[in-house]
Amino acid sequence: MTALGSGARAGLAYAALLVLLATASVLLGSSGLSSAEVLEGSLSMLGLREPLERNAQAIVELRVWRATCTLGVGAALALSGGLIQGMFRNALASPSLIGVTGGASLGAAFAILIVGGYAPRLVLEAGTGLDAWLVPLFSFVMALATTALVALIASSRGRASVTTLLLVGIAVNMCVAGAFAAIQYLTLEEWEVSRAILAWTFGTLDDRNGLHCLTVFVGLGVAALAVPFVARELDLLKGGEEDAEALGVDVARTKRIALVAAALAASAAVAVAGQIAFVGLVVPHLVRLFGAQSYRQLLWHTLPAGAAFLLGADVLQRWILGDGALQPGVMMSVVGGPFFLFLLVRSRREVSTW
Amino acid sequence: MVNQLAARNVCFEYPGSPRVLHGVSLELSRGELVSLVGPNGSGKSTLLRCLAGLADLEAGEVLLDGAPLRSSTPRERALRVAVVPQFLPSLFDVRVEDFVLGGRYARIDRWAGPKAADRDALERALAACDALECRGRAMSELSGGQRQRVVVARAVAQEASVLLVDEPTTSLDPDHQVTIFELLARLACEGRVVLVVTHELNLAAQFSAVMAVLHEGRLVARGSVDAMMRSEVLTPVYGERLHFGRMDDGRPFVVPRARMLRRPQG
Amino acid sequence: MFLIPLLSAAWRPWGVLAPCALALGLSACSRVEEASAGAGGRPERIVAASATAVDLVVTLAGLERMVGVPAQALEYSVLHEGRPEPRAIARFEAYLAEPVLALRPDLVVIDPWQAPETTAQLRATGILVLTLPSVRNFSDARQALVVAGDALKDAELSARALADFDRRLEALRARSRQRELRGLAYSNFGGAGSTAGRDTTIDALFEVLGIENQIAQRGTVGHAGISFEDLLALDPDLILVSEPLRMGEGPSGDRGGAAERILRGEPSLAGLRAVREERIVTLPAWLFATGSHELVTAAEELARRVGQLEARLAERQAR
Repeated sequence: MTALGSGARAGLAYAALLVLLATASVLLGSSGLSSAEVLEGSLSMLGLREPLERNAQAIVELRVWRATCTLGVGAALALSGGLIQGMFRNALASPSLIGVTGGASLGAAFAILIVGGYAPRLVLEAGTGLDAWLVPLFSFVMALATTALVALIASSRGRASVTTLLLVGIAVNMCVAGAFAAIQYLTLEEWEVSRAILAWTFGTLDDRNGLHCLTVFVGLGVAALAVPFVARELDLLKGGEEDAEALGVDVARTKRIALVAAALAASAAVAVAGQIAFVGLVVPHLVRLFGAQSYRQLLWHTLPAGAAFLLGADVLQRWILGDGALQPGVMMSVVGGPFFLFLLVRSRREVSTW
Repeated sequence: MVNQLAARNVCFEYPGSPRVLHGVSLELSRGELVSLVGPNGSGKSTLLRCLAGLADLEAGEVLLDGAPLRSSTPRERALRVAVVPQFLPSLFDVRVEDFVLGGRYARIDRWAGPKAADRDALERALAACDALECRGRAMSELSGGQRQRVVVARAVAQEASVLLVDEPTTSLDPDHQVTIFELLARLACEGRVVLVVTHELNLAAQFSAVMAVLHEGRLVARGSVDAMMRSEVLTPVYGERLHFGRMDDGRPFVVPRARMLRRPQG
Repeated sequence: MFLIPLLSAAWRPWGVLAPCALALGLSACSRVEEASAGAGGRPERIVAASATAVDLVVTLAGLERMVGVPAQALEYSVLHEGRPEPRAIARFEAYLAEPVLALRPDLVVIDPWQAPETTAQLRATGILVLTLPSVRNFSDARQALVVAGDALKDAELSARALADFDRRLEALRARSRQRELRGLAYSNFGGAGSTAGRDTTIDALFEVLGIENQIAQRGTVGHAGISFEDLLALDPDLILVSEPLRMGEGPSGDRGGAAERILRGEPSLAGLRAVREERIVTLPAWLFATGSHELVTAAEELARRVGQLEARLAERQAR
C-alpha cells in the first residue's frame, strides 16, 4: 500500500490527475476553439458565464459530455473487471466472459437494423423518434439479458460454480457472436447498414450527450453500491469457496451480487460507448501493480484508475494523431494488448502461480 | 447434549459417485482432542466437511449443542465452528495479518471494520500458535511450518468452540509435526471440541484422548488410544504391514514394516 | 470472429486453394476477352449478382434475359420496391455457387468486391463471369456501361444507353455552375455518423452540381466517420441524407431516414444552419447508394431537389 499512500493523499492525487486529463480532453477537438472559449463555454454550462455563440457553445458542451462519459465508461469497465476477476478468482477474467460485450454488440446490431428500416412496421413505429436512443437501449438490455442467460443456465438450485459459469459464458458468447456474424453476413451487400454495425463494434466516445453520461453513471453508481457488500468476501474467496464459507461468507450471495454489479456497470458502459476492450482486464492489474492487493482496496481504486486510464489513453492518442485518431475500441486493443503483455512479463512470478 | 458436536447416522455421496459415508455416528466433547484416522479414501475429509456443516447430507444430521448445524447461516456456523483446511492456494498477495484477520470475518461489522477486540484476538491467536514473528509478512514468504501455524492461528482467531483440523502435518518435518499437535492438544485443553484428521498414527496416539477409525465410509472403531492402537483394530483397516510396539514409557506405537528383502550376497 | 472463415478454409485447404488459383489465372485475362471467349453467341440467361449489375443488365439487355437477382441488392437497384416487375425473376439470398448454378446462367455479372471463391467455382463449371469495374465517378460509370455492353452483346441497346448517358451528363454539366453551397453527406443509424470524402460517388454528385464537398476539401478520401463536433465546426449549407430504404413502410413517410431524424432530434445540433433553415436534402436510398450508370439519374434528381431548396431559400430571402 505504500505506493498508493494514505487514503486522503491518494484521493487528492487521483482528483488532480482526473482534472488534468479532463481539461486536456475538452481542449482537444477537430474544430479550432481557443482555450479561453472552451473555458468560458464550460463555465456557462454551470451558469457562471454567458453562453458562447450557439454552435461554439454546443461544441464545448459536446466535449464536456465526451470527457465525462469517458471517465464514467473507464471507471465502470474497470470496476466490472475487478469484480469479475474476484468472482472468478482469476486475474485473466474480464466482463466479456459473462457475455456483456457480445450481448451489447448484438443488441446494437438489432437496433441499427431497426433504425435502418429493416423491421416490421409495428417495430418501426414503436421506435419512431428513438433513433438516437435505440442503440444504447438495445445494447444495455441485451448485455444484461445475455449475462442473465449465462447465469441462469450455469446455476442449479440457485448456485453456480465458477467453472460452469466460465464454460457457459464461453458457449453463450459463441452463440451471440454467431448471431452477430449472421447479421453482418446478411447485411454484407447493404454497405451503409453493414458499415454502421461494424463501426459500432469499434466503440465510440464521440457525439455523447448528458443522457449518455447519466446512463453510464447510474450503472456505475449502482454497481459501486455493491462494493462494500462483496469486497471482504472476495478477499476471503481467494482461499476457495469452501474455505470462505467456513469463515462465514455467504458465497452464493456474494457471487450473485458481484455478478449483477459487474454486469450492470459493464452493460451501462458498453451501451453508451460500444465495445472497448482491455480496460476491464488491465486496470485491476495496474492497481495491483501499484500495491492494492486486497479487493477492499482494489475495487475502490479501480474507479479513478479506470477513469484516468481510458481518458488518458484517449487524450494521448487524440493529441498525437489529431484528426487521424482511432476509435476507442481500436485504440484500446492496439495500446492495451502490448501493455498487457508488458504486465505479464513483469509479473512472471504471479504467472507461474496461476 | 450440551457442549458437544454430534454426527447422527451421516450418509453422504458426491453427485454421480458411489456413496462416501455410510451412516457415520460420532460424538465429540469439549476438552478432548479426537483424532480421526483411516486409510486414504476412507472418507475422513468428507466427514470433516459434514461435521463443519459445509456439505448437504444424503441422510442423517449433524448437531451442535443439540441444534442442526446445516440449517444455520454460514455466519452463524463460523461463530461456532472453525475449520483448518488441508489445502489452500498459494495466496501470494495476502499478508499474514490480513489472512488471520479473515478468521474474524463473521464477527467484524461490515461498516465499522475491525475493532480492538478483533486486534486482540489476532494477537492472541498469533501468540498461541507461536507465529508472532510472521505477522508483517506475505503468506508466500512463509516456510511450511510457519504457514501451517498461521493457518491454525486463523482458526483460533475465529474463537469458535469447535475446531476441525484436516491433516495439519502434511509436508512438515517431525519437529514441526510435534509442535502442531502440541498446539492442538493445548487448544483442546482450553475447553474446545478439537477433531484432527491425520495419517500420523503415532502423534495421534501421543496427543489425543480419543481415536476414531474410519474405513470405507464406516466408523469401525472409537475409543481410547490404548484400545485403538492394536493389531485387532488397525490391521483389518491398514493391512498386514504394520509393526506394533511400545515406547520406553509404555505408550503404544506403530510403524510400517517392509517385507524382508534378501540382500544379494557379496 | 474474423478467424472463422480462416479456420473453415483450413479444414479443406485444396477445396479453397484450387479455385483460388484458378481465379487468379482467369482474372489475368481481360474482362472483354472473357466475355467474347464464351460460346460466341449472345448470353441469354443472365444473373445480375449485385445492385450495380441489375441496373446495367436492365438497361443493356432488358428484363427478359435476366434470370436471377439477389434479393437484398434489389432494394438498391433500379428494380427497387414500387417499380413494376413485368416477369417473375428468380431471387437468391447470397452470391454463392449453388443458388447461382441452379439458375443455369450463361453469364453472371458481379461487382469487384464479391466473393472470389464463388466466382472461381462458377468459372470452373464454364460459366462466364463478368467483373464490373468499381465505380467512384462518372467516367467509371461510363466505363461500366462499356464493359457490360460488350459482354451483353446487344449493340443497339448498348449504343443507345451510352448515348443517353453522355447526353444526360452533358446536359447536367451544361446547366452546372459553381453554386454558393458547401455541403456534405451524412449517414447515421444510431451508432456513429459517417460521411463521404474524395473518390466517392457522393463526391462526384456534389462536383457535377457545383456544390463544394467539405469532406473532400478537408482531404478525406473515401468514406469516413464524422462527429457532431465536426458537423458543428463545418456548419454546412446543405446536408445530403438518404431516405429510408423501404419507402412507405417506414414511419417517416417520404421524409429522410434515420440520419435526418437524428440531425433534427439531437439538441446539440439544433444550431446547425442546415437544421435551422431546412437545408437537409434527401435522395432515395437506391440513388444515394448507386454505383452504376444510374449515377446520372441520381445527379438529375439531386439537381432537381437542390433547385427546389435554392428556390425556397431565395423566396425566403425575398420576404
